[in-house]
Amino acid sequence: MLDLLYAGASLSFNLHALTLTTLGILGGLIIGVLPGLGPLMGIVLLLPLAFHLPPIPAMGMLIAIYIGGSAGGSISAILLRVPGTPLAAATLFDGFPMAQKGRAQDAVGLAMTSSAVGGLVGGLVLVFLSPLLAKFALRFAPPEYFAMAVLGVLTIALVSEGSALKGLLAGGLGLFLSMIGTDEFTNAYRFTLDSFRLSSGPHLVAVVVGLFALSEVFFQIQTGNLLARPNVQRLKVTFSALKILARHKVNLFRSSMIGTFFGAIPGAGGDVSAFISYATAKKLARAEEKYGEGAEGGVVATEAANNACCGGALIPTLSLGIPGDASTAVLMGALILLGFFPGPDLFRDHPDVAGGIFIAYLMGNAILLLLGTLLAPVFGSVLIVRKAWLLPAVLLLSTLGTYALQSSVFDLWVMLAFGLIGYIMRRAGYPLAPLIIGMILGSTMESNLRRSLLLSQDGLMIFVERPISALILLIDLVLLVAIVYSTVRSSRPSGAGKEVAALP
Amino acid sequence: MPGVRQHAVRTTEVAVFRRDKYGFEWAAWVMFAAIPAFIFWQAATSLEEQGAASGGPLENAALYPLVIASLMILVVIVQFVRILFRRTNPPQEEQQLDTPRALAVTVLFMLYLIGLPSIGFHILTPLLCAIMMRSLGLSWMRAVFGALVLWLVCSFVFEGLLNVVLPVGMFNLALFS
Amino acid sequence: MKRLFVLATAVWLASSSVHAEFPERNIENIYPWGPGATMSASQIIADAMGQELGVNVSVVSTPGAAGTKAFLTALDKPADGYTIIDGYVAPLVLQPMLGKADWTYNDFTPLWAATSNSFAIAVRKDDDRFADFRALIAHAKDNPGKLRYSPGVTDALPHMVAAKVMQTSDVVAQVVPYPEIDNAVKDLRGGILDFVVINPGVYTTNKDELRVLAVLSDLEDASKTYGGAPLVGSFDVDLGMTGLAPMGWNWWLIHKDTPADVAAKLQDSMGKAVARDEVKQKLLDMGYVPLGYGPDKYKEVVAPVAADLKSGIDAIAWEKDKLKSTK
Repeated sequence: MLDLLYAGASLSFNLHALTLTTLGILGGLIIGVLPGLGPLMGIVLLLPLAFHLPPIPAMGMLIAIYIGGSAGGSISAILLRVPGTPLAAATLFDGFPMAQKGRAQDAVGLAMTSSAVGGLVGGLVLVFLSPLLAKFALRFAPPEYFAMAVLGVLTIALVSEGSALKGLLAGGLGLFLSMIGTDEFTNAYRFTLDSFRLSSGPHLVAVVVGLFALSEVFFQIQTGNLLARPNVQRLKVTFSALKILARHKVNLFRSSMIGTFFGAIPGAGGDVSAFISYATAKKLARAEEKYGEGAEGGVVATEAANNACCGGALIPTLSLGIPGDASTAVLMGALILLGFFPGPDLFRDHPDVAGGIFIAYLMGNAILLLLGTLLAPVFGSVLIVRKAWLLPAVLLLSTLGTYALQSSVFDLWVMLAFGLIGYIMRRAGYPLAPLIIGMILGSTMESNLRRSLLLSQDGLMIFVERPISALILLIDLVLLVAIVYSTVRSSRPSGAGKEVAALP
Repeated sequence: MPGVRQHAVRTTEVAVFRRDKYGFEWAAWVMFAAIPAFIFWQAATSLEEQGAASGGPLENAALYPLVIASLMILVVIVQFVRILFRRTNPPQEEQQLDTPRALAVTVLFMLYLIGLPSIGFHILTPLLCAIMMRSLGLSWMRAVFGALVLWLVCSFVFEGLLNVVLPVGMFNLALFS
Repeated sequence: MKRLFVLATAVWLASSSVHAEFPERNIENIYPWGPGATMSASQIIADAMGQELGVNVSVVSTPGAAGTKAFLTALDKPADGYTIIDGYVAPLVLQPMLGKADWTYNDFTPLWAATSNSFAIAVRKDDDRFADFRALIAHAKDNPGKLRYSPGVTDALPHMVAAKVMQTSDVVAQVVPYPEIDNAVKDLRGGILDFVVINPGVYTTNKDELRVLAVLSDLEDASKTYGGAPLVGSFDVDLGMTGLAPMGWNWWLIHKDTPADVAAKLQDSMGKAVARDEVKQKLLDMGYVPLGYGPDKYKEVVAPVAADLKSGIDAIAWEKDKLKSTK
């Protein structure tokens, strides 16, 4: 594998490539920060630029947008409680409380550094373990995806501890949203009320932006203090985030591995990995770390996972020719456009290109580490702006980011509707995150259940005949029993008063 | 919703407070209870008509939603009992909420969305921003200045750099493309 | 004061737009599927066309309702030439025939035809049950409904062509829909599917792992995009569809009410774009064959396709019944 890197080195280490990668990271960060636009839209919108560049710098730039876009969403989540992308929906659990406690710069710095380090871990796995993981990914078929989706849905109970029932209802709403649209098996229109605008369901991003950004704008206006000049800690460039990160070595490594794993399985996705990694970190944490109230570990867990996922997702893309997620599908399209076909051929016929992409990915993360640290105070300074300026800006950016997805005004109405739904849910103490988890995993769960049954020659047996699926389902079962047990115990009279305000 | 008044609390002193607090609980409950009802209704009507409500996994688009809906009904019932007996604990009310102002901005944004397709982004956006900034307490001078800057910067980024076609409206307006 | 400014700006912009020549702003191409490799093919053409016109032509992915959502979205916009429909055959011809859309191909003004791609039946390279296409059919005959295959999504073109082949050969296999054909190929390689119906793009990225048993077309050129694999006709199977009918293709379209001079300008610039050598080469490299039909050929080419597709639709219905009876 090192010879690959060597072959690609001359293509990647030149001023042109370096500049484009840096610009890509910067552009990606900004696109990630803007509510609505994420790495996928960033790549799609800037792809035409890449047509006119030489292959390696072009891929370097697109991959850099992918990396920056995956990290950037955390910044708005931390500072404004508005996740810039669904990937960062779990980052605000602890990132926002951290900022509220006056540690905005620490939180942003930590998010950037854990993203970069997580990305680098994912990158090392990509470089050295690609063939192994790619082989493993091939053993993931519909039954395994179904079992995995159930596991993801069960984490709802973990992230909404203290109000498990409300979490389940919110998750149910998410599952329902995922059912709206054209059923992919019968092509029947389901729950669309005969409107073609709903024929692919409400757009996930419009829902996320509405739930979090719009409801937050509403809350902030209600709370008042719109003209007060916020008191923010002095912001300066420091490398203290790296020191903090060093205290979370185990968490960092585990989360990076979770992220890489989920990336390597096509179709699992970074947002899911962030939630699962967060839930795991929270379960394994000591009580005094106080997850949900500004724990550093929470930011590390989500950000390391969702950026490691980028490296993971490149594994099947490059070594199997099967994209790991929607963003890598577009990256793959770009690579083909530039004249190179991913898959084993790429490594054999164009080792310089394969190596160049590896280097571009590693370099992108290194640049993210540097840029993220340098820019943390700049982003943090957003908090100095008075709310009377800031809130209209958030509203307009949310509107533009959501509109840009499909050039659709209808999506803006969806966004507004979910702003109101999010507001009601928050006032009634419902957690919002389960809704997102349900919506992301709903179609994975349903379609893979039905696909498994079609594939199976003997009904439900397919789930237990396959070792990996059986193992995951066993874990699901244990988790379910544990959750039911703890819910029943906590809803006894003595436990009732203990129900605390849910996570956002 | 009827539940709000019905379950107002006895002690007059906290009545206003509590009514508000559980008002949102009930509102949310009604919303969640409506989902399974909607699923059952659609499965029996629309999906049935399309011939997608029976058969095996390839032909039946209704079974999985109905399973999820049934599970939700269980939780909805338990939740109903819990709210009825005050076993839930919504977050504490923050004092002195300025709801009228927030509602006004919401209505303003709705008007913006209604007008967007016909009047266009480049006319309505500076208006929206200026009025919103003014209603959040800035002076007209500052609001207008802020709105213009915000509108131009955002238009430049989305229209100029990202090549998004923003709603042009009847005047066919575009600034940076 | 501010109103005055806005008004002034509006008047200035409006007046400039009256006198300006089309196009004076960016154009959108409404693309009916999710982002991915196929979208890149449209982006290549859009990019070249944008250069001809001097504005940006952006490709907007609007998936849903088997492609018809994109059509409806585009038809909802004004007929001013700023919205192009990426007219794939499924939403253009097939969905109306299935009763899922209420237009015919005559309801649009055509620009140029873009690309076409044929479909092929492929198995794992090392699957020794199927030495050739005949072996696959024989195996399917001995095990009715037992083989599992994926044409990607159901009721679309690849599904139709595969169903037609099986109807002609009187065999049936269990269809398993996948929204992304890439994932079906992954499960084929993982051993859970027995065969897939692919396009040349998929073949090119997976050619070390796949073996093409039969190309579902009657055109010799189609075989070339699959490394010279045999046409299905060489196994004495009558596809019952000729030319473009069993293929995926797209023809860029605009709203019927678009002013003639605007339409002419778009037709002209697209014609120049698809005639460029580097555009053709890029498309070919990706496995898409540039068609090169101009607007004048539209009716002549599309009408027979529409007639041929009817038999394919019947084949899907046949497959459904047959699968039920084997259960």
